[in-house]
Amino acid sequence: MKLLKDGRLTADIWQRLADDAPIPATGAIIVPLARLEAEAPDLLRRRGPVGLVLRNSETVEAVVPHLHSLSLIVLEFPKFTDGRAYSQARLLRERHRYVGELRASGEVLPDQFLFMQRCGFDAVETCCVAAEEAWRAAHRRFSVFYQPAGDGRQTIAAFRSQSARLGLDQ
Amino acid sequence: MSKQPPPELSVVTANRLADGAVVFLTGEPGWTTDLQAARLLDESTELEPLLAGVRGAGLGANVVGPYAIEVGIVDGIYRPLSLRERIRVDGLTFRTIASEAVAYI
Amino acid sequence: MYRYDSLDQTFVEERVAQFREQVARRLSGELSEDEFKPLRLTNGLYLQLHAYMLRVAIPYGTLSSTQLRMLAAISRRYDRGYGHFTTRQNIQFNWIKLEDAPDALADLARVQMHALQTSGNCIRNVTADQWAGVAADEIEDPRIYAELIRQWSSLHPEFSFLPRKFKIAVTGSPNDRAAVRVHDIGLRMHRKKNGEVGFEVIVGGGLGRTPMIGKTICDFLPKRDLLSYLEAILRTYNLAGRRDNLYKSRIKILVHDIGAQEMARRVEAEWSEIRHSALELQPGTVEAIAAHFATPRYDASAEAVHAVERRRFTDPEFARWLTSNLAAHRHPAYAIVNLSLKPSGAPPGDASAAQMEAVADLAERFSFGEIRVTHEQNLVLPHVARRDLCEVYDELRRIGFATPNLGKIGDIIACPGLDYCSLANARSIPIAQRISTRFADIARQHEIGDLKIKISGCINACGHHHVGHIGILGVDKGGEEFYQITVGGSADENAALGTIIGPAVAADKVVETVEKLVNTYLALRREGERFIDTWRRLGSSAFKEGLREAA
Repeated sequence: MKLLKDGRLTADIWQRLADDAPIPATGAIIVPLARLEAEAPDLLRRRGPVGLVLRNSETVEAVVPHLHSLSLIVLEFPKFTDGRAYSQARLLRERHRYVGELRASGEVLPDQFLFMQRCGFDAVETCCVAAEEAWRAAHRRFSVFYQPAGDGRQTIAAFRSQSARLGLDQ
Repeated sequence: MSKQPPPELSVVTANRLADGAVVFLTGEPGWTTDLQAARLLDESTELEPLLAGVRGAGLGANVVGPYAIEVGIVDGIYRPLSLRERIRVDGLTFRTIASEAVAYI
Repeated sequence: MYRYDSLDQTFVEERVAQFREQVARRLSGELSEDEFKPLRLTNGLYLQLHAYMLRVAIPYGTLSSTQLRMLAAISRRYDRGYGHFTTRQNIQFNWIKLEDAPDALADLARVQMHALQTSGNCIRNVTADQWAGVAADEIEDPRIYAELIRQWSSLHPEFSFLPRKFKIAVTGSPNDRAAVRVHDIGLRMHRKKNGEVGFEVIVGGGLGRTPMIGKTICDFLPKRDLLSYLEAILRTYNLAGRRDNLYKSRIKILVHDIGAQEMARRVEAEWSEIRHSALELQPGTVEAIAAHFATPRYDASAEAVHAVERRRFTDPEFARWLTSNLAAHRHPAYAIVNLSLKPSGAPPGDASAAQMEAVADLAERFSFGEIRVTHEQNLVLPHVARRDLCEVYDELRRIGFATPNLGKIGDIIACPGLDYCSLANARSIPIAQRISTRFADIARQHEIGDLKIKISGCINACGHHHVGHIGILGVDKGGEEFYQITVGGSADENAALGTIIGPAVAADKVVETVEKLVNTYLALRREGERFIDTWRRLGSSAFKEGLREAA
């Protein structure tokens, strides 16, 4: 399993903390929501970034009080057909303005990279052999999008109004 | 309600990947569209390992969704026992309209 | 009707290119079937009993002559020379090869068509009243909004992996011909006293294993809020819909479990955050889409068309056709001409390549090049001048689509059933054929009057049997085909689910059972009562009594 971040295969500095393990003083650690809620002060006090792995059955609302202290949120696709994390991602990015790393984990297929990008993911854990190329291709191969998403791509409707204002024909 | 004969004989069937055609596993092993050329399996065959062997790469590469179906032998000819599988072998149970026709006959 | 601009065109072409590459990766083995299946379904390609089936989207059932000709060409080039019109206003080709699918989709893209999202756990084809834009009883053309929804839902990055499929229907008329109460979201247009037009939003209707009538969660939604409100509903469903059980994954189960009030609360809470986002519909956007649905330049005059009136008296079959197959058009000089794709004994809803081409030609000459597909598996020529009715009728007779049985017992809706579909328990097409053959006599069909028979080959209810006046559901009883009969269903604004009226009957008893139900109705009806009216007045006991009597 490799980490693809911003389109590049990168070494993963993050460690998932075992449930019974004590919080280390340094290092980048990922904890589940229950632990974040129970041990927030200890987590904040330490030197080293804190990440959260949020189950797709847990609510984004629960994370909101802690957002300012998180540099990483991992969202899950237990099966690639389970699309709850797409909504979670959009809420985190667009509603709550989360700016840290937003990572997709689980069953992640390269043919989903575009949807993930549009929903605000900037990192994926993937086994795909040509992951960098697949991520780049997802960015490049589609030039028109109908619906607004947090990725800032201009929608077809926006483009049309712009053309109309400029008096251009489609 | 008709009485089904006890499941004794079966063949493995699938759909061909490239064109969706109904195919059957032969003894070679390979795949054929002709049910009469299929490898007949009896109750001594371990179906699960056989099916596992024809899914995925290798023999399963050019087909989709292999599974076993029960057949009987009627006048020396293999016939699937279920209506569904008979339809898969024989085709539609009614005649469709021809491409140039403007009336259904 | 809507015409693509270069942006829409680019959208479909890029998707065709993507699918071509995905098919190549599948055929080479680089993609496994598990990885490929959702990609295949997103492009409308199912694997059925005999072959792959391609379901082409016909947005809200509107087609141009050019498009219909291409569908005929596809049936010739890649299939067996015929297509089947479905209960969601789409068309299905049953013998497509996977290796040909990219080429077929490229051909479709050339005429502004595609097969995107006609399958899979995503938002499906948005359906509408088949008489949209021309019905006399319409408030506003719902297709404008169906097109806006279509664009918004096309490859939506957040909603491409929903718990289950999602179906939206829109009606612009108080007489609901789009069955909005049995869709995941149904939209019903209303006009306020001050003239403002908006939508009643109905959620959680559906057929299948657990049929339910949808609940209204918003009485009047202004137009500008349409897309943001839908997004709020979809997001609520995406996060909270069940994913543990395939048969409990539709939004109707969520609405049932939490209640309509709680559903409304959750949707409103989410919606309050996004109602003023980029999803808010600007008047300019709506106007630009509405311009595509402007009224054609009708040029016929409304004076009585003597040839039609004369023939009405001299030609009884023509007279019947005028009565049953025409619908009131908002322009007095025009008529909505309904084509019955249910000649007696034929598989319902099928059309040969030659028939499709002939209809395309007819539409070009007499209907401003426009055709509609209904969710009852028929076609419509929506803009026929009354002065052309004789000529249109004669051509329709030649084509085989003039059977004067619209809405009558011979106008049967049937799913493909076990002849085609890997989900089915029993066949439906031969049952439809037998019934329509038994009731072939047109005079008898008109005597019986309006009676919708709907047949499904399995509990998935693609034949919409729950909302048939008589519904027939194929079940498997010990390997034999049996049929459960329901009565009293209705898909219109008085939506209701049918009542089971006895144990399932064997295939060879279905026609006899239908006949007994019809005879009971004929014996008990009052002046002016349709079958469904008599049922509503008397209830099931009278009809069960009729079944117990000897044939």
